[in-house]
Parts: sequence; C-alpha cells; structure tokens
Amino acid sequence: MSAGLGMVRPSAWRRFDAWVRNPWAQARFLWAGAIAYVVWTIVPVVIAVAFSFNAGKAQTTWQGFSLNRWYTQDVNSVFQDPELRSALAQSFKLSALVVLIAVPLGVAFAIALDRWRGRGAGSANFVMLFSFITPEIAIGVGLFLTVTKVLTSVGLGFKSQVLGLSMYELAYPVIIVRARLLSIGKHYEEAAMDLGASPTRAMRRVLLPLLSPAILASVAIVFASSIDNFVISQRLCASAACQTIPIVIYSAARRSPLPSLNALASLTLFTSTILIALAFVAYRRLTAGERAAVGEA
Amino acid sequence: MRKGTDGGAWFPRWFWPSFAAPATIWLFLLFVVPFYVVLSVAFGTLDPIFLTAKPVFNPVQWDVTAFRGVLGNLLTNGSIEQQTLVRTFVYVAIATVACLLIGYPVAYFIARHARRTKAFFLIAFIAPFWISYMMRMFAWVNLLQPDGYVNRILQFFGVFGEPRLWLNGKPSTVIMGLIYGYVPFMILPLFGTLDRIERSTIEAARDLGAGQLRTFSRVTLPLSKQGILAGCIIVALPMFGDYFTQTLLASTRQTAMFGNLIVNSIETSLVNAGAALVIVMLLLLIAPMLYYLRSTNVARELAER
Amino acid sequence: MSHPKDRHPLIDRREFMRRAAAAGIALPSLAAILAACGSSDSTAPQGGSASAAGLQLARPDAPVTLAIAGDDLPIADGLNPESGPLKIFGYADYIWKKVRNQFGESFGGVPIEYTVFDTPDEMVSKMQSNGADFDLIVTVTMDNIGKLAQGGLIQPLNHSYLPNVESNLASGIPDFYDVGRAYSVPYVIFTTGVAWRNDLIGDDIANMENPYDIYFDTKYTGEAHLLNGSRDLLAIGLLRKGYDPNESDTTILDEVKQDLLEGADTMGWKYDHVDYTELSSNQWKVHNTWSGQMAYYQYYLPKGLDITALSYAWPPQGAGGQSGLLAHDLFAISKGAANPVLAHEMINFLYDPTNAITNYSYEGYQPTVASFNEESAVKDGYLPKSLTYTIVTGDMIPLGVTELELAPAVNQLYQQIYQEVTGGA
Repeated sequence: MSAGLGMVRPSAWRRFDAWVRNPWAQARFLWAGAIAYVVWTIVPVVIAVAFSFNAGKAQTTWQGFSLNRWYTQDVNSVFQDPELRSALAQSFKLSALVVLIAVPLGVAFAIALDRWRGRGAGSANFVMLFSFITPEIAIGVGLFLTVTKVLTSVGLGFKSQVLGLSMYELAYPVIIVRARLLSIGKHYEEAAMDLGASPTRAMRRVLLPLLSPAILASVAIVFASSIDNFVISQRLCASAACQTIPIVIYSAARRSPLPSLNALASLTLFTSTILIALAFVAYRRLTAGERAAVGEA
Repeated sequence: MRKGTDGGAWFPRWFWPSFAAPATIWLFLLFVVPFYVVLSVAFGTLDPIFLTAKPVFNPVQWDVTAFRGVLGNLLTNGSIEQQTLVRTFVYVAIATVACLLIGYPVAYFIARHARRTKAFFLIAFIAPFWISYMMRMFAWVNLLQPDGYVNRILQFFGVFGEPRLWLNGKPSTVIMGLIYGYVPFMILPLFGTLDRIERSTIEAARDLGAGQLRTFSRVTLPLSKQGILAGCIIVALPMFGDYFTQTLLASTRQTAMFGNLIVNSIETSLVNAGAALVIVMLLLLIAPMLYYLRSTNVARELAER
Repeated sequence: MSHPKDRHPLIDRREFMRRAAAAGIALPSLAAILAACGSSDSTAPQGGSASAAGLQLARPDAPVTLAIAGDDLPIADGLNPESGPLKIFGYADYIWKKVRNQFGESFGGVPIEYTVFDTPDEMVSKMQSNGADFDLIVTVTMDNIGKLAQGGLIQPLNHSYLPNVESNLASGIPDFYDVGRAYSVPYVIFTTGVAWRNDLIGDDIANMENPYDIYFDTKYTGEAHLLNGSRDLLAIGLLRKGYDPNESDTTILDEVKQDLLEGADTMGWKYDHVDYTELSSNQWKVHNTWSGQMAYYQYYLPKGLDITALSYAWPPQGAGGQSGLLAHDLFAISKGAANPVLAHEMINFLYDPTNAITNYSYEGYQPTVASFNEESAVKDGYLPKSLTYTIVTGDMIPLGVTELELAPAVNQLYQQIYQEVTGGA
C-alpha cells in the first residue's frame, strides 16, 4: 500500500510529513486513514479487473493488454467457454427470477405489516427478521436437507435455488418498503379516499406510485445481492447446469484460475454497478419533488 | 365508518392478512420447515447403505446419539470439534475487533469530516457491498500467490528475502480475509449512528470546555455505543458461519473453521453430527441474534441509507 | 434523517418474548406434517431399499454378481439415441473436451453437460439425492459400484450397444466386483503414488526405505499435498504401516488415525487432486497423486520448468517394496437417466481405438482398451518418452492393492477419521 512513498521527492515528502504532523488538524490522520481504507478495499478489485485484460494466462504477472479473455479466439474466454457462458446465463436467470418473486412478496408483506395490526403480523415479521440475520450456512444446510429429504419433487438444482434464494432475499424489500411507508404516512391515501376513490383504487393510484422509489431500490438490491450469492446457491446446486458465477469462481480459484475468470467476475461487477447507479438516479428523480418540498419547508 | 386512525377500517378483515399470506407461506415452507428438518436430521438416523441422512420427524422417536456425540466431543480437549470451535471464536473475535478499529475511524471521518467529499467516500465504502465477495477474495488469492504482488512488494522493500507462502495455512491470512470481507458491514451501522449525533450536542460539549479527545470519549463514543454493538453483531454472525474464506485462503487443518466442519459433514455419513453442529451454532448465536433484533430497528437503519 | 424521538424500538421486550414463544410453539405441529411427507419419501425409488446386511462386499476371492431384479431391466435393444443433452458426472477434466465435442457432433450436435465432483464420497451422496440428473457416471470407483447397483441408483447395461467394448476391452482387468459386467465397464487404469519436484528435492523417493515417509518429512512442511477423499487419505496411513487399505480393525484404524493427526499437525497438509494446476505457482514439492495426472503436467508447466523436473514413484516398484494402490475406474449409467442410449453410445465411443487414443493423448489416464500399448503410445507421440513411467503394464497388476467396498459402519469410521484429520478444510 505504501508502494509510492519511496518515489516521492524529498521536498514533497517533507511537505506531506508536515501536513500530517500539523497539530491543529487531527482530522488529517483521519483523512489519511480514510484514503488508505479506500485504497485497501478498492485496489485488489481493480487489479483483478485489470487482469481480465491480461494478454497472457498469468494471474500474477502483467503481460500486456488484450481482449482475449472476453471474447476473441481464446476457447477459454467468457463468450467461448460453455461453462463460463452457462454460469453467466444462470446467474442472470436466477437473479431475475428471485427479483420477480421476492420483490412482490416482500412489498405485499410490508404493506400488510404496516396496515394490519393482527397477532399473526408480529410473528411473521419476527420470523422474517430472524431469517435475515441467521448465518447463511444454517439456512443453506436446512434447505439442502429439506429438498433432498422432504420436498424431493423439487430436488437440488435451479428450482430449489430460486425458492431458497427468494426466501432469503425477502427481507430486503420488506425492510425498505416498510421504511418508506413509515416516512410517507397515510394521509395521501386518506385524502384520495375522502375525494371518493375506492380503497383499491387509492392503493393503485396513490400508494403504489409513492412506493415506487422503494420498490425500485428493492429490485436493485435484491438483484445485486442474488447475483453475488454463494452459500445458498452452492448448497442447492448439484450439477453443472445450475452453477452460478460465484460458484464457478470459488471452484476455479482452487483449481486453475484463468484470466477469463476475472473477466466473468468483472462482468457481474459492471452489471451490479450499473444497476445500482440506475436505481440511485431513478430514486433521486422519483423523490426529487419531495426533497424540494422538504427543503422549502 | 371512516376512522382516520385505523387504515384497516376501510377494508374487510381478510384484506390485509391476504397481503401477508404469500410471504408468510414462503417463510414457513423455506425457513421454518428447513429448520425443523435440520432438527429431524440431527436427531435422526442414517440410510444403512448409502450412509445419507434419514430424518426422523416424530420428536418421540428422536435418537440423541449423534447430538450427544457432538456435545461430548465439544467438551473433549483436543477434539476437532472443540479445536475448530475455539479457533472460530478466536478468529471471529480478532476480526470483529479489527473491523471495529478500522471501521470506526472511517465511519467517524465520513460522518464528521468529509464535507464536500462525502458522496465520494460514501460510494467508495459502499462499493464492496455490490462487488461479489468471491471476487474480492479471489483478488486476494492472486495477490498472495508466492509470485504475487504482495510478495513482490515486500521483497522489493526487503521485508522478506524469500517469498512467503501466504496461502499455505496461515491463520493471519484467514483473519485478514475475514476482516477484508466483512469490514464494510461494520461501517454502515457505525456511520448510521455517528451521522445521527447532532452537531449541536458536540458543539455544546466543546463550548463547555471539553477538548477534542474529551468530547469524543465523553460524548461521541457513548452516543455511538449502540452502533458499535450492532456493527459487531452484524459482522460476527455471518463470520461465524463463514467457511469459503478459509477454504480459498488456506484450506488446512490448522485453519479449519466451524463452518468447514459443518459443510464437510453434511455430504458424508457424518450428516447427523453435521446437523447437530448447525444447531449448536445457532444455540451459541441465539443471544446476540435476539439482542440485535430487539435493540436495533432494522427497518429504520436501512431507511436512512 | 429521522428525529431522535422516533427511534424507540419497534417492538418492546415483552412483545418480543411473546412472539419468540409463538414461533417456538408453532414448530412441533410441523412434526406431524413432515412425518407424513417423510413416510411417502421412503417409497420413492431413491435407494435405501436394500438393507445393510444385504450389501455384499466384493473381494477378489469373493466375487459378487450384481443381481438384475425383476423391474430393473436394461434398456431394450435397437433404440434410437436421444437428443440430449447428455449429462455426464465425473472428476474434473476426466474426458477431454475435444472428444466430448466429437461425440456430440457424431450424434447430430448433441450438447454435453459435464458436472464435476470432488471426492467419491461426494459422488455417492449426490447420486443418492440427484442421481436422475445425470446419465453417465464416469468415475465410479471400484469400492462404490456395489452399493450403487444394490441400492438401485444405477441401471444394468445393455451390452448390445457396446460392440466396441466386446471387441476392444483389454484382457486381465478383473471383474470380481461385478461379475459379467452387468452394471459397469472399466474406463481407465492407474496407480497411486508420489509425485515430486526433483529440482527442489534431493531425496531419491523411489528408493527410500519407505516412500510413504516423505509425506511426514518436516523438511516439506507446508509443501506436501495429499489426495482428498477419505479412502485415499486413510490408504496413506495404512500402507505406510504395511496394513491393508481396506482394514476394518478399529485398533489399527485408531493407530493410523493418531499417525495422521500428528502428520496433519506437523506437516500442514493440503488435500486436493489438482496438482497440475498448482505447478504454476509452486505450491507443492511432494504430492500424493494418480499416475494419470502426470500427463496433465506437461500442459500446465510454467515457463522455465521442464517436465523432467517432475518424478513419480509407485512404492511397489521401489526399494522398500511397500504395497501401493492400483485401480481402474468404471463407467455406469444412472437409474433415472433421461438419455440412456446416448450414455451407452458414449461408452462405446470411448472404446473405439482411435477415440480412446485421442482422449488419452490429452487425458493421460490410460484407457482399458486392448489396442493400447506402451510402444505405440510413445512412438506415435501421444506420450513423451519421459512419462512412460505413468503406464500401467500387465505385470504391475498383481503387485497392486485396491480400495474395496467397506461395510457401512467401517466406511463411516473412515469418513470420521478423514474429517478429524482434515478438519473439514
């Protein structure tokens, strides 16, 4: 991490040293610490992404820039190797289905928890939060034993991955949407109904649009977190057909990592980043009016 | 008929419960049932030929042999169960404290000092959340190879003459991996609490003559206690069940963690013991889990992101 | 940001305890429902039908004929191959990708899906839970064929689809574990021995008094790797002390366990069978491995390392003359296979002399085909001269010992010891 220090010219070094030692600004230590932290977290990943463009096969020595690992002639590139291609497709398919199941179930659950003060609501919420903080390995083992011993018609594989993961990811939309429901309150809906809208109409025309930023954020987070999921997807995978990207990375890292693996990993990274960025921008757009209103108030 | 206080009054009694039903069924089938199946396997038997689990669902017929065996081994000095459990506790404790020591200053900095650069730092430290954990570990596997960049830099500066075999079962490598993997999860709750401390509270302390250090130790630190606890728990829980970090960065008997024992047991004839180990793990973690659920309002924690 | 006043806990403590208790009470009622599900499960065709007492343990002097039960018939003659995808289950890199593709092309572009397992224990466990997900199992070890057949997880073969096997199966390959080869056909034959970097190690391992001691030599702490899987690991401990690799005596097993535990602690062993991929990063100096792996080495050598820097020794041929493992892996077809005809065709395809040698040229594992012989393999350039020691010749077969099926309780003990030694790592 301190690789650059040796190369800094003495005068610049002295200036830097004086800047750090300045007794009137302790925050500079924090500054330096925070920068070091960011470097420490980001640099290994940047190096891994960079190596996906390595011309040679090495993972430790830079041999020049090339797109070989991505798509060109190389049989082991992401777009040529059937194993990597299948993992890519599988990851996207799995995450998309998990979003399609977990988000609607979670949104409905959150609305119900907000509106329904019955006894069952509390217990269901408790179980949901409990599932959220249970170590994943316990859930993975439980699901593995369940689909191999009880729900044998489901069996290990894609079906069980979708089911298991959609349960595990359920908590995100519930938590996000509930938080939004708390902050918007009930008066918009009530106003709509006072103006003669039917309850269902009020919900469709008033509540859902108000919830859309939260729903959007849920979609992004559930997708990004499913595409990275390892423990549950690995426990529930028995054959090559259901291997996702993290599973492939895990098994290949122990066998023979090729730079095409970095390319594959980079692809998920780019996808998640773009998705989160889009969701963030959209969220800002959707809530822009409210923030302006708060600012004026 | 319209009563503004209760939103449910406009709807039939079954209306809101029906919204909760699908998710409740999902949680029941895919969380509660599996939990019970783990119990039935821990107290179950083995298929006589294939030596795979034969769960016993009726509690009356439960066979406690495997569970008792696991408990006995956990109490036997030098057994693999006890060794991995103790090691896991030590690794998790060191890594959690290290996460706190790294995470607190970073969170404090972003909450207090990063004014114009706040957005940049927020993005930079949230980034690891959507960068795949596997990819981040994989990056380290390559950096730590005998001819990887870590050894090259250390050799360049003359720290070591010979390249170090970082990946050949060094506890320090595994702990580093755990810290690296989980520290972002520590920063988030810490940032949440630190950011919520009103500037005026701190200014008041300063106005009353407290120095920077004193203000920190008497005002900021006590006010962020809940964030510290929440951060430690939210980091320690998944770390305790982690097995892949160890496998990628070491994979030896000397570094094996509790999760490795569980994963290895589940697909062999030791499956009953493996399920019992899962239950032991949950029993050990139940107190911090319940504490976390009770003390933090998860919904609001996330809402403020 | 919310006002501090809003930050009261969502639920108070008493409410919290009540909910926790409610969740606890709900659990027991589950038992009855699951018990109902579970009982229907026992009638499922997923094995477990034979009892432990009924499991016959095949030994060379006690051959076993695996019975073909009434409803358990081979597929009919003369069926057309299915459209796939053909699902193969085996060790990593166990059939060369190019040969797989050639097979696919010759059957009208049938796609092939190759699933990898890590250890034979994992194979048995996956077969039991998901056997029907696979058509062809490429790596059934000799100690597992009996339980797979008697437990109803694999189907009898129809040899009318396997003319190449009839004409080209090498002689002298025993079939005591499946007399008449009703359920299995051999695939490759190999020995288990020591591979080492002779450029980094001075010891002449082949002529050590006991080559197995090399794994316990603290000079190589952190740089000695063993094969993963309970049988191969236990075999090291047993053979080192001159015991049978199928030992069932608990005193002997306990003695061996203590040795292995001590070894694991002092040596920091790693357990894997990807020795070839680890060459590039110099991860080991000594590796317990299979003779067939040696041929992969030539494709994974880093710059500056020559294949002659690697040596291999099989203990029975060394000065000490200890026993050593020699085995052949088997093909079998899963009971619920969706593509049984294609699976038969794949076996037949690999018994074609040309395909067998093509596969061998990359694979390095010696096919059990009659057309294979050492001289032509070297002469035609399929094997570098420096690797001829990887070939199993007819006169070696009587020297080797084999891992055979264990009684379930003994098997469990082996797995228990394996877990204790490896820590599940």
